[in-house]
Amino acid sequence: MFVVRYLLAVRRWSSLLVLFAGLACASMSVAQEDPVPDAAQDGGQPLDAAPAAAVAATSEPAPVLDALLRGRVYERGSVSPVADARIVSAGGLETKSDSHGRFELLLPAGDVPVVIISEAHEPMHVTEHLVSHGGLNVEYRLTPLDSKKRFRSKVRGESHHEGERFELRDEELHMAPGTLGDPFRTIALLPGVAAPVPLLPLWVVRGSSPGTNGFFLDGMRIPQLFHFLVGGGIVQSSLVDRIDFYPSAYDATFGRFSGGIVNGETRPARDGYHGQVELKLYDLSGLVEATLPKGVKLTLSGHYGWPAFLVHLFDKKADLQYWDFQMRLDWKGVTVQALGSFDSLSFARDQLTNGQKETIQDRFRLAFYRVQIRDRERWGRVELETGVVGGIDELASFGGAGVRKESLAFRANVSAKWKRFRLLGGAEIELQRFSAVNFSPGLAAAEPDALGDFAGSRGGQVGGGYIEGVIDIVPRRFQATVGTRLDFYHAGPVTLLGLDPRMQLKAQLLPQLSIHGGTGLYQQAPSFPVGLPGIDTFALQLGLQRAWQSAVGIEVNLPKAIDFSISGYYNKFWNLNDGNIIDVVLGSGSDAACASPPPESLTGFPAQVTRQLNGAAYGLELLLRRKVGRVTGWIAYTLSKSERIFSCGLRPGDFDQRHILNVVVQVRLPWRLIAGAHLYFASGRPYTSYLQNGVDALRNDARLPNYVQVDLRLDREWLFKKWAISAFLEVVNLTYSRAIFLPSTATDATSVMSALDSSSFHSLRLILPTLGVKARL
Amino acid sequence: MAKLLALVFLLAGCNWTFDSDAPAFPLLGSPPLESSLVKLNDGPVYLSAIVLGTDNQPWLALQEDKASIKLRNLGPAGGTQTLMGDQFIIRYRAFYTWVHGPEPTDGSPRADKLQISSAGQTTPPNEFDFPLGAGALVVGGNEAVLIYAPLQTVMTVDHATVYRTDHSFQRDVPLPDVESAQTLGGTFFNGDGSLYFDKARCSEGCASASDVDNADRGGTERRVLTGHSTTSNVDYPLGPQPRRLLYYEPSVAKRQFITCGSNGLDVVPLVPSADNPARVLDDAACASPFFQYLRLTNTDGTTTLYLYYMIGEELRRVPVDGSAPPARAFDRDIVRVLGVGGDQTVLYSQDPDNKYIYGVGDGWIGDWRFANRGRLFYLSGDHKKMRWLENAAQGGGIGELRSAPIGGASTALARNVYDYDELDGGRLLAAANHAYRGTQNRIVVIDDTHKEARWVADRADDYSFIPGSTDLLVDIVTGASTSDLVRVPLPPDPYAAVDGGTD
Repeated sequence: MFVVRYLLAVRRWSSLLVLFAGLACASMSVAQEDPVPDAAQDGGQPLDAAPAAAVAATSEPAPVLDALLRGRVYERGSVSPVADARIVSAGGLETKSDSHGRFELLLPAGDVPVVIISEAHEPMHVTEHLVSHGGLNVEYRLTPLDSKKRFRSKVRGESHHEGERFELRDEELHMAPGTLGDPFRTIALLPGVAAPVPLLPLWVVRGSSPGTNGFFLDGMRIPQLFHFLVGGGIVQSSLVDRIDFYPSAYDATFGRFSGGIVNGETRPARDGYHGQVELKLYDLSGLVEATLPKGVKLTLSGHYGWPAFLVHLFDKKADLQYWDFQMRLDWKGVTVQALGSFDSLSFARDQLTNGQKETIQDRFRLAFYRVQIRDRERWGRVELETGVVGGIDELASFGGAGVRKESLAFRANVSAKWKRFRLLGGAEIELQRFSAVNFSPGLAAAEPDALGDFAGSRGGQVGGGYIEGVIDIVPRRFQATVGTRLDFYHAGPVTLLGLDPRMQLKAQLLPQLSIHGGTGLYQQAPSFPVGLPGIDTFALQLGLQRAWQSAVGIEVNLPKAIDFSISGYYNKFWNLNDGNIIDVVLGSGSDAACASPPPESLTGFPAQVTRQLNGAAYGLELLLRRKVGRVTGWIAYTLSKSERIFSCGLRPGDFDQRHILNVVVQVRLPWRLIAGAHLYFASGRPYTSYLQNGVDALRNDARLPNYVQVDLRLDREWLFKKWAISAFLEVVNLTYSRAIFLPSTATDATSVMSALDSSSFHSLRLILPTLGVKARL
Repeated sequence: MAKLLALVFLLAGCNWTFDSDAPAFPLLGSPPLESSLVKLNDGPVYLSAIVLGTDNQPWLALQEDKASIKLRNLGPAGGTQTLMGDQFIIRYRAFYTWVHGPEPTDGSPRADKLQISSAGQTTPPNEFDFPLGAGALVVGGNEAVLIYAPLQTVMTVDHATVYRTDHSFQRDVPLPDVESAQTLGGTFFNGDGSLYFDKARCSEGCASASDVDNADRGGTERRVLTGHSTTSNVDYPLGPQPRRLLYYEPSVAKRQFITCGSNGLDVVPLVPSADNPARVLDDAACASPFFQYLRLTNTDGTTTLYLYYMIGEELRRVPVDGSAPPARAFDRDIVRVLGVGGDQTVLYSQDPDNKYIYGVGDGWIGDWRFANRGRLFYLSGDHKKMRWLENAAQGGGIGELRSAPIGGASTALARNVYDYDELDGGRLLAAANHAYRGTQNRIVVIDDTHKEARWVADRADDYSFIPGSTDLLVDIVTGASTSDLVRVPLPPDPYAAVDGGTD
């Protein structure tokens, strides 16, 4: 009623009718191929069936505004309301949709041209037939703009953390070729990231050890980002809102890792009810969003994978399974989350039980579960984030022996902002309990001690705190961040303390030119070469790993929406746990060459895989990137050198790759097609050869062949009235390149390793075509 | 500037370690310099063994290539020899060397020679001609007998030939299983080699396997047991017998087997007689994986030989001569017996032998559970301490060497121990720091009384005792799969004069 009175008041002074010229009916072509109209009215014809007419200006008296147009604006292909859409009549009368997409507009009776405008959508033109003193309910569905929807990513954007950062958002996370639509795999396409085993998500960030990378999701520490092999990320891709990647020299807000950081954020449920189902050849995933009473928003999502048929190509006795789930509930500033991830790789083997042969599944299993309650509040200049996280991590090795970790973590982060200064502080503590568990008690001849320190029953406490100041020395021109953090680790009889000072600088020299840099100390407790659930807070007697990281970079904004950046980095390592997991797992023996001895206090597999090394890594990274337009993508090149001090002196690190090139191109084609291609080139990583007389050569004296891989991806989306369906075809490794793990070593009749057989490699060679269909509401 | 920043950060950035569990067992001395050790091999060693020479001294046999064996006298006289041949079988007293004859062109089998010689031998080797060429060879009976069967690729094999190595006798014996001809698998000798036995697959007269037979791994069916004389053409058919059996020969007249099967624990005489009758020692169905003889002194001063065995989870014993009925030998049910001491102390485990790899399990004496997941359980020479490898359920059976006074708390002696032995004075020799074979391996001597360890050799993967000396033969790791052999003296016991202990 209030609206009607207001509109009648407007009518008294509204004497000027401005008509506008009709624009090209861009939405018509879409509407014509769609099975349902874009807009509908009560009892009337579809509005977009009416011809769009240019309306000329007129000098006739102002019409009487006695017809009410009301309705809702949605995004086409979904049930998402569009807020802040402008509904403009030919006479210049207009209103905006509210957060639920609702609007009301008083118009004169008759055929009234109307245009609906939203920044993120194509404009929509309709002509409504309005009756005097009557009302018309309508529903407008706007077609999203590709450029807005798909490529809103930006490099080095805003965040609560300081330091050199790559930020990835929106569709860029889900459609990059070579990633199988997995947001987290996009990290591997960025500069500074080496993937020593192509096709597998094992990353070496700026020359550090893969096990020193830290993974965060909504502030929680998680042990792994990926399922086994082709399994993809452990979070449903559509739930991931953004990913920040910090390759090095980040600020003091991240702690207890000495390598790079991947920080993912999920999003709350959208208004209304939404759903999504995605089916791939080996994977089914789904997502449901709902707005419940009292503004509670709920998201449920998950994956289930059945890639066993792919594994059967290599071993008929092998089986592979994975699944994950996520639940997110938002209410005001409080977020409650639950997530879990499960992976199982098993092999059938025969076992004699009481004299009877039986076939049993010998299983390697990873699982972790998290529940988080997180609250974010703001009081004036002060922001506070608190979180409580409970977790269960499980790892079972072949034979059944494994470890279960139960943890409870508390954290609080506070920041206060003044005009030119921001103060941040935070603290966290995690209480841990590790138990050695036999996950397959029916299996005979188990090897629980093979896991050594990894699986020892123990209690642990880890945590830390930081304080950091961010000051605008020259407003909007020059910013400095100085901070430090103190971390502690305690398990059994050992306690470790680490104090890490860090500093970042950022200067906007010109509107198109900025420079940034950072340096600091990054310390971490002993780590496994790759992140695994339950393998944490072990072998503290080895002391902290220590990295001094420094980086400096220049960013230039070029015409045509092109960004160019160049970064240099230098990382110095001490006491780095840098075992070659590939050598150990495949038992090549090359790790024995010029190897530093294992720490004496370790036993079993930890002793085989853990090496404490000093070394350094340095390099240069170039990134040329186009963020918007019909053709987008980036060229990322990394020139790097990673060295370690082995017992025979300074030699290339096991994962040193001198040149890495990633070219990603995505082109928007007609018919809502998006084609993408990815070219990956990496120079071969080192290995140790053997001389014919059986004497070892110098460590890492040879290199594997260079590796080139091309991936292609094609996406197509069909928008219907309330839902959309999309399909993609992705072919990973179209070039059928061979991913080499290790060279084979020849042995003579007496099993003495005598020479490198360069014609034989432990390798994986496959083309991975994937067809996916996604329906969303 | 960079250096200044580095200095600032490194000064400001610190870490501290507080470890109250640092090892308290010092490793004293230093390893002998590699240059001071006598390297016994010239190139990569494929195979090595210590053998007994004709001079009654230990010799080292080294195979560095396929066509020869290098021999080094480890005795005081020293000296070397080279043995040439095409294939070698090394036994403690002799080398059995195949020397191939010329390859025939008509497709007929190649005639080969078998030369038997010992280290230090200066006389021509003992030779046997085999017209059908090199084949399966089993040496036994204190190396007094060999059994030969030609390869099946040469002919369809249906018999083996038994030779006394002194050429005093030979005979053909039908092979019980054609399948076993390649390896002569399943044959075994009595102590002096006057008999050998084979086990044939059971074609008739064998009862189907019972649950008891199946209870032990591999005990799925009976085999037809036959004895063969190696000095005459006499055979001893013993019929179908369980696979679990013991040979017992107190005298020629009382040669017998003790079998364990669904019928119970039976005595099966080689030649039944009044003095050596067939009899039942225990009629309870038997599937014992454990047997041990123990001679016990009776109250009247005489001795009786007992056989200890398991019936279910009950440890029993019975006089081998059947003079008394079987009796329970331990007052509680146990899963596995690890050993019975001379004082009838029972060392046992409550874990089945296939619960963990390498038969690892917990260790008990009476109510004292001293080990959790152990192997290589040994009672010290003075019977006052237990030693074992703890947490050994892992590849290679490597574990933490621990020692505990009987009934007391244990002490960790060394980590990642691959093997160990007790020396005469009570010290322990251990291949330690051996999480895997590599240059970090070391041999140490550990004195758990004085709580110290001493270096024996660095980069040392394994050791052997050199008979007749206090020296060790040690493998020094030189590469990913290669090693050198060196002779290393055992460090003297510094407390020997004080404690009276000697090695």
